[in-house]
Amino acid sequence: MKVEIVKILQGDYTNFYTAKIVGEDLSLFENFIIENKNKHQKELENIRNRIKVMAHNTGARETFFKIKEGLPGDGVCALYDEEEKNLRLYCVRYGKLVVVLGGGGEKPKTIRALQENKKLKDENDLVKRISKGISKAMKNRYLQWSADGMELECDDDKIIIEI
Amino acid sequence: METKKKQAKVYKSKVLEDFFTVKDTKEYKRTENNMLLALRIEKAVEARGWNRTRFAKEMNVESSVITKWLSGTHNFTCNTLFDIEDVLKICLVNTKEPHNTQTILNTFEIKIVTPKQSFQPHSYYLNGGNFMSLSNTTKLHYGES
Repeated sequence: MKVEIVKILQGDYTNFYTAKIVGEDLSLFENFIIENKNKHQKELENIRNRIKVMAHNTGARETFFKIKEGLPGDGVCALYDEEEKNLRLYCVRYGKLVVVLGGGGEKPKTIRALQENKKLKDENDLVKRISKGISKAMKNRYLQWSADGMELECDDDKIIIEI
Repeated sequence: METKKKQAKVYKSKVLEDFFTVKDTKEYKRTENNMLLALRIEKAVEARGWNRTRFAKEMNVESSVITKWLSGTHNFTCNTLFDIEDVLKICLVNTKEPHNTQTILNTFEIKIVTPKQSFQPHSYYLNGGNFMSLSNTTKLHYGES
C-alpha cells in the first residue's frame, strides 16, 4: 500500500502531518474528523485546541500524549481529549518537532486495551505501518529531516512511501 | 550535483480548514493555559534535576498522578498548586496585591568633564525629569551641571 505524507499545520514549535492512502480522496486525519464530528464535536474541538497549542506555543511534549501505543521505539502514541477521554487519535511523534497524525476513534469505557476494539486496533495497526514505512524510507535515504528537524524532505515533488 | 531536497506539500481542504478554525476562543484559551501550566511545572522539575518518580516522592503522590498533572488536561485545585510551588520553589499563582504605581528614584554619580575644566563629582538623583543634588538643596534642571 502506498501513502502520501502531507503537511497540514505549520507552527513555530511543531509541524503536523498526516497520511493519505494513494487513490483515496481523504487523508486519515480527515476521515477521523468526519467520522467523529457528529457524536464527539466537543472532544474534537479539544483535540484541535491541543494540536494548535502544541504547534504554536509548547511543542509536542511527550507528556501531552499517551505514549507506547505501538511497538517499542516506533514513536506511535495517542492524542486524546480532556476530561472524558472518549476519543483516541493515533499518531507518530518525532520528538517535539514533528507529529504525523493518523486515524482513531471512540474508546468505549468497557474496554481496557485498544486490542479489544476492532476499529481502534485497525487504526493503530495502520499508524504502526506508517511509522515503519517512514523509518524504512529514512534508512534508504529517500526521506530525510531538514536542518532544523521540523520538515520531512525528499527528492520528489510528493512524499510517497510504501507501508 | 546534489539535487535540492523538497519538502512535503501543504495539504489544504475544506474539512481541515473548518476543523482548524477556532470558534470558542474561551475554551481555546483555557486549553492553552492548562498546557502552558503543565509545561512550567515540567520545566521546573527538570531544572531541579528530578525525574517524575522523584517528583512524585517529593509530592507524596503516585507517579500516575504526576502523569496526569503534566498531561496538560488536569484541572488543578489551588491547594495542589500551592503544594507544587512549595516543593519546586516556583510561583504558579500570584496571590499578592499588585503594587500601586510608584516613582522610583535612581541614585547615581555624574562626573562632568569638559576640555577646559573638570568638575568635582556630585551625587544627584533623578526625580520627575529633574536632577536633584544630594550635596545641596539646589534644584537642577535636566542636563544642567
